[in-house]
Order: sequence, then structure tokens, then C-alpha cells
Amino acid sequence: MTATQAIMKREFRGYFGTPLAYVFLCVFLMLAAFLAFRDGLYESRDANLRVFFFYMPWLFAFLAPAIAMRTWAEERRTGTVELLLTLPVTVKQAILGKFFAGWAFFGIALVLTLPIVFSVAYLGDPDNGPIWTGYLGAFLMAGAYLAIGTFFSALTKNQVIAFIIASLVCAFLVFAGQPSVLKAVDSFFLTSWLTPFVEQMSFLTHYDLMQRGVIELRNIVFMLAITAAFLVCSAVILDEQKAR
Amino acid sequence: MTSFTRTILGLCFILIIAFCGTFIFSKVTERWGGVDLTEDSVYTLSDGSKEIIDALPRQLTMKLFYSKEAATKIGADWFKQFHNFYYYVRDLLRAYERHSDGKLVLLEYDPRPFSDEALEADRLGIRRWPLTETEGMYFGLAVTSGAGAQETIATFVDPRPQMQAQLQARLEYDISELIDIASRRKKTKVGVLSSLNITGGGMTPYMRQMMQMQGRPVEEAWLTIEAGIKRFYDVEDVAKDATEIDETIDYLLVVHPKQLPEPTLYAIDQFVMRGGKLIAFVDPHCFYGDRPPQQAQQNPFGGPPPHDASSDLNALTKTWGVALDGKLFSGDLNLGQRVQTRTRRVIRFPGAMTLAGPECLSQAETVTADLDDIGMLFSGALRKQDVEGVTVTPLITTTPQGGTWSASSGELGGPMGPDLEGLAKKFKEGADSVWVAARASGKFTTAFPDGKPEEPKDEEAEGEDESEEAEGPEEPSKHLAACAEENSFILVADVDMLTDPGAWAQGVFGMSQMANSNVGFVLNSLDYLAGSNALISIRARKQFQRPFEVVAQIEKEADLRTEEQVQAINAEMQQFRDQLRDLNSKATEKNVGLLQSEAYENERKLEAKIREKEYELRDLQKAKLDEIEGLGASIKNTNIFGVPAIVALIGLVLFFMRNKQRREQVRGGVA
Repeated sequence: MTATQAIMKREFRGYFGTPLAYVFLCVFLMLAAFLAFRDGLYESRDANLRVFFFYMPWLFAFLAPAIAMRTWAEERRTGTVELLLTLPVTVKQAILGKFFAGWAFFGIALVLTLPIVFSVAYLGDPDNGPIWTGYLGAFLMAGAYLAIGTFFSALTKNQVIAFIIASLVCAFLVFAGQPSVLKAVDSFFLTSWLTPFVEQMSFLTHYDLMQRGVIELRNIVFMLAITAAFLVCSAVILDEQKAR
Repeated sequence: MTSFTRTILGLCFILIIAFCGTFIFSKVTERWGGVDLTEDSVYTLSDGSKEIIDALPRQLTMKLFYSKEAATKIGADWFKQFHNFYYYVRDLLRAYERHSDGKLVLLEYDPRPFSDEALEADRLGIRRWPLTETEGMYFGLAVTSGAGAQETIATFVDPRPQMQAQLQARLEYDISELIDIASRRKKTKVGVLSSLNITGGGMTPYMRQMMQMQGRPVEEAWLTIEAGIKRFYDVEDVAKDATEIDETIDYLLVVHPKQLPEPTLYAIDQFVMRGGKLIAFVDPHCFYGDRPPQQAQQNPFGGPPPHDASSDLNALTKTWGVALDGKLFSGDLNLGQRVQTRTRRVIRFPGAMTLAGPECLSQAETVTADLDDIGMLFSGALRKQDVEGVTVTPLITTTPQGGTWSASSGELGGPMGPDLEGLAKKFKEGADSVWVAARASGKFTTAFPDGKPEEPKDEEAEGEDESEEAEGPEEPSKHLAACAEENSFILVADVDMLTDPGAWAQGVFGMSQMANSNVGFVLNSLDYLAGSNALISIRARKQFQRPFEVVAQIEKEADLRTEEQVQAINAEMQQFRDQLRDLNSKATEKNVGLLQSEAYENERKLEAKIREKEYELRDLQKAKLDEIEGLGASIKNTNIFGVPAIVALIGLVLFFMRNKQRREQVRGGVA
């Protein structure tokens, strides 16, 4: 077993060692189902999961930082980060181990929403393509949010601050594609060349086609690139702390 | 530079690289397209569209107008749905462009107020939706060719969500259709020959408006012609007593041919013999389209004279392999629509059919394979004729339980309307399916073996003949005894399916929308005879809608379960209403005083009874709704509370197990 795998296993077990994981899962499942049904998943009488996937970016924007906030902030607060970094593991391995544990946890959270898919499949004959691509998009998006959360967790000792800043950044990356944000950018910078760039930063822009059943390379690359960038940033921060 | 500053700069550099890199990558790969994993590949160009693109004779320009900057300026978040749809339209158009190998060029415009782009959009007929006093939103497409052809989708916006969804569902068809029409130098010409005025007399909208202003009655064209066929073809009226079908006419649509004179029949015959394509709609009783004239309806001397609303083309089609079976009607209880009778009872009437599914719509024929449902009323029955060298294929049939029945003109069109209850009783289930539409193919021979029939001559005509002779004799066209090559024609035993009430439904804001696949069938038939399967295959593309079958089944079962009860309640309510009417009509000036108290009492009792029955009816409807809502509630509760509860339970069990284990370990350690 590599060091990354060992850390991942320890972290993953750590989630379920406390009630936090169960509380998180219950809140996530309840909210996901509630929002989907509130928006007429049943009343529309159309066998698709569009409303269910519609809320994923918003839900993850707050839940992913909640999961990620303790990854490094907690270690730094209790001082165990020094201990961890003195072990024969690199910063990269430690970051990846923790990140993959969180990502796997989100994977489980998404798997637990399958009863909604089964319900729709019982009621009608949904197109499975958009369902699986929707899940793939949600999973990749969760990874990107988690990476953002990990970065801010590495940046500060305070979990709450890490959560708030990460949530704000995630929310911005969701809202960036909204016309109201584009208008604000347009009027603030008094130029329109920036708007396509800001729009392109939005997770909604990249997630939209995926939840409709189309996978484009640029959308996958965007999510993976954001994940990688924030993980590298986390590594830079931790390396800097290690050097200190 | 301190290490902290270096770190901050490093972080900024990484993030800028990531966001800019993905932005540039997105822009570069924008036109690459993606992998469409939907079941019916709804986001991929269909083979039909590819076929149309491959067959393009010349370069076309697709001009996409979308007010992107206006959307940004307005900043309303409801705009997002149009924004997303714009991206979808743009990506689809790019897919067309990619496949065309240079034959299609996509130009994108973002019209700003008073700009050249806005002027161009206005010139091309793109609709402007006002957003503010100056800002407007354009979202439409124009396809133009160097030859001057210009076709437009004025707008991709429909404020009604349901209609917007439909617009999205048929987007590819609309674009392919636009390209197909714009690519032709001239539209194919369809001649329409009918005993009814179904083309509106070929009047322009201006002429129609002028006549309306003058208070003169204006006959509107049928929507199937106006909003269906005219979009794809040039439509030309052919007189019902025409003696020759113009050479420029490619297809002949014969609708409700009532007792056509022999020379006209001969003209149609020769049109088919020279390879012309014929689609004929005949009917033993055209209910909507062929009403008796107003004066006859108001005849003060007794009842109206019997009005013959039947038509056939048997004089010709018998020779070509298929004909209308006398004045027999086709029917099917399995397909019958629920109708209200004179006595206000609701019954399943076998003569008003919704023909759907592979049992009724031939899956082997491209014309019908992917249609959803065809609505027919008082349709006739077709019978195959044994003609050598001719193949006859049924396109639309009843189920094997379908049957035929006959009716007198009194039963069909009394002053109170048709006696549906009586007619339904006459229906007998058959042992085999009844044909209502069929296609015949082969080398047809003429129905006039002795050549051109002699035209009836009257004095006026003789005078004209003399003058014509003075101008010089006209060259007589050569009589054709048989088709030189194999030909096909389609015969349908219903005319009502083309009428506005038969094929169209009134939408919100008075806009008409197709009620069933009737118009699709006509267009498919024309496209099939033209040998163009491309548009048929796109038209056949599955819709986005995937209904909850379980809920539909519950509704259907509940309807069947309560059908008799609802009928009985409706009948009782009608009975009480009739009694109430009788009671009121008995009161005259003389006995009004005497009857007043008794009548008042009875009226109150009857009204109470009617109310009681209305409650009963409402309870029945509520029971159905309760069942559907009950299912919804249990599904919602299972997902919102059930699944999280199970997760919580598992968490609790594990927590207690772990605690127990720990306690045991502590105890073991102490021991």
C-alpha cells in the first residue's frame, strides 16, 4: 500500500468515526431530494432528473467546503500537521490521500441518491445517458469544490474561516455564469471583453451540457484543471509551512 | 523578495494559468463537439440532417442572431434559460457547419440597438422582444443563399415554458427544414383539387383583409394547407372541374372529390399516367369540412333536405388497386375516443378513432413508422382490388377488433347532430383490421381505356369553341394508356383528419398547434412520394418527453373503474336538469300563481339533487387525484426522509457497536 493510499484509508475511516459524516450525509440526501421534489420532479410527470441535478452545484458549493474545512485546518490547530509531515510521506502524498478520501466520501453521498433514480425509473422510462453524465459531472464538480476547500483549509488554522472563504469562492464559481454577475462585471470594469472569461469560469456553464447527456472534453478539462490547480496551491502552502 | 511574497505570487500564477488555460482551451475546442450519450442521440445530427447537408447544391449562410450583450446588460437571471438554449443552438449549428465541409457557413451576430446587426435582423424578419425602452432581444436564425433564397426562424423564444420545451425538442428538424427549403431554387408545386374551399380561394392576406373590411364573408384556408403544406411547397389551386392538370404541378392533393365530372377524372388519370404523384383523401361522410349550406339548415318548411357529405375517387382508384368500400364506415372500440352524446352521456365512440401504435400505424412504411397518433372521424374503409402488377400496402389500419358499419344520412346529420349513441350500437367488432389509408405502387393503367371522354357541350361553350377555332385549333394532348415507369399513390379514407378541428388545437394566446400527427402524415406522404426520406426521418425523431407511465396507468384505470359511475351520475344530472326545465316551461301567465309555491318547492329539491350529484362526481374525481397524489407523497417521503433515516440508523448502530467494542476493550484491558 502506498503512502497516499494509507492516508486516504485513515482519513476515510476518520469521516465515519465521528457522527459528522452521517449528519452530513443525512443533510445532503434530505436537501437534494427535497429541492428536487419541491421543484416538481413528480408533478412534471416527465421521467428525467434535470431538477435533481440542477441543484447539485449549489449544494456542493456549501457542503464540499464543510467536508474540506477540517482536512488541514484541524491538523494545524492541533499541531498534528507537523507530526504528519515528519513522517516518511511527501506533502503531495498527504494532500492527495486526504483529497481522495474526501472525494470518495462524496462518491458515497452521490451513490446514496440512487433511490431517486430508481423512483423515476419505476414511474417512467428515463433516458439513462443524461443520468450517468449528470452523476459524472456532479462527481467531478465535487472534486473541484473539495480541492478549493482543501486549499483554504491549508491556508488557515481556523476551520470556520476556511469554510466561509471556500464557500464564497465556490459560490462565486457557480454564480459567475449568471447574467446578474456578468452585468455587474460588465458595469464595474466598463468593458465587455472580461465577461466571456468570467462566464467561462462558472461551473454552471460547464455542468449544463453534462447534465443533458453530452460530454465535452473542455468541460471535463475545466473541472480537472481547477481541481489540480487548487491541489497544487495547497501543496505550495504546505511546503512553505514545512520549510518554516 | 520574502518567501511569503514568493508563495503568494506563485499561488496567483498557478490560478491564473489554470483559469486562463481552461478559457483558451475552451475557446480552441469549442467547435470540436462532444460525445452524445442520450438514448436517441438527441444532441447529435441525425442521418436525415446529414443527408440534407450532403445534398446541398450550393453554399448557404446561416446567420444566428442573439442579443448576448443585451442579456448581460439586463442581468435578469431568468435569462439564463435562453442563454443556455442559445449555446445549444449555436453548438448544433456548428455541428451542421462541421459536417457540411464548407457548404454551410455560420455567422453569429449580437445586435445592439440601432446597430447594423439590428437593421440586418429586422430586414431578415428576426423578431425583436423588447426588454427596455431601447434594448431588445433578438434570438433567431436566417439561412440565405447567394441565389437570393432566404428562410427564417423568426425567434427561438416562447414565453410559455411548455412551448419553449417543444421548440427545443424540434430544433434540429426546424433547422434542417430551413436549410432544405433555402437550398432549393424553387419549391415543389402541390396542386390542390377539392370540392371544398380548403385553400381559402388563393386570396392574399391583403385581399382577405379588404374583404373583411367590406363586411364580405371570407373563407379561411385550412391550417393543414396554410401552416403545414405551404411551409414546404408552393400550393396551387386546381379547379374542381379542371380538364387538365398543369404540367408544372408535381403533386396533386385531391381532397373530398364529390362527383367530379368525367373530364376532371380523366385529367387526374392522365396526370398519374404521366408519372404525377397523387394523394387522395376521400370520405363516406365528411363531418367537419362539408356542412350543409346555411339556407338549407334554416329551411322553414320541414327539416333540412338530406345533404350528401360523401366523396370517393373509385372511378379511378379501383383500376389502380384500392378503393373506398362503398359508404361503409370503419370503427374500433379499442381506439374510440370518449364523446358526449345528445343525452350528455359520455361513451367510447368507435367512429372517432385515435389510431396509434404499431398495430395501427405500419412500422414497415417510412410514412407512418414513427408517427405518434392519427385522429380520424367517421372514416371510411378501403378495400384492396385485384389488379395485376400493382402492390397495395396498408399504411393505417384499425386493430384486428375493428369493424365496419353503415349509417343513414338522418343518423349522421339530424338537426341535433349525429346520433352517436345509436351509431355506436350499430357497430360490430370484426375479425380483421380495417384499412383506412393505403399506398398502391405499380405501373398503373388508365381508367379510361377508350381515351378522352367527350366533354359536355353547352351553347356558351360552343360559342367559345368557335372563337377558339378562329384563333387556331389547340393541339390535343396525347392519351396515355399506362404509366411509363412505376408510380405510387396514397389513398386515405378520411377528410376530417385534415380539417382544423381534426388536426389542430387551440393553444394559449389563440395560437394553433398540432393536436396529433395528422399534419405530419400528410407531409410525410408528400416527402415519401418525392423520394425525400431525410425530413421524414428527422420529423420522426423522438421527443424529449418521457411521461410517468405508472401515473398515466393509474389515471387510465381510475377512469375505466369510474366510467360507468360518471356516466350514471351525468345521466341523472341531465335528467334532473330536464325536469327543472320542464317545470319552468309549464309556468304560464295563467297558472303561474297556482304553480308558484309547488314549483318553487320542486325546483329547490331538484337543485339540491343536482348539487348532490355534482358532489358525487367531484368525489370520484378526487379519489383519482388522491391515488396519484398518494403515490407521489410516498415516493417523496421515501426519498426525503426514508433514505436519510436509514443512513442515520446505520450510523447509530455502528456508533453503538463501536462504543460497545471500545467498552469491552477497556474492560479487557482492566482485567
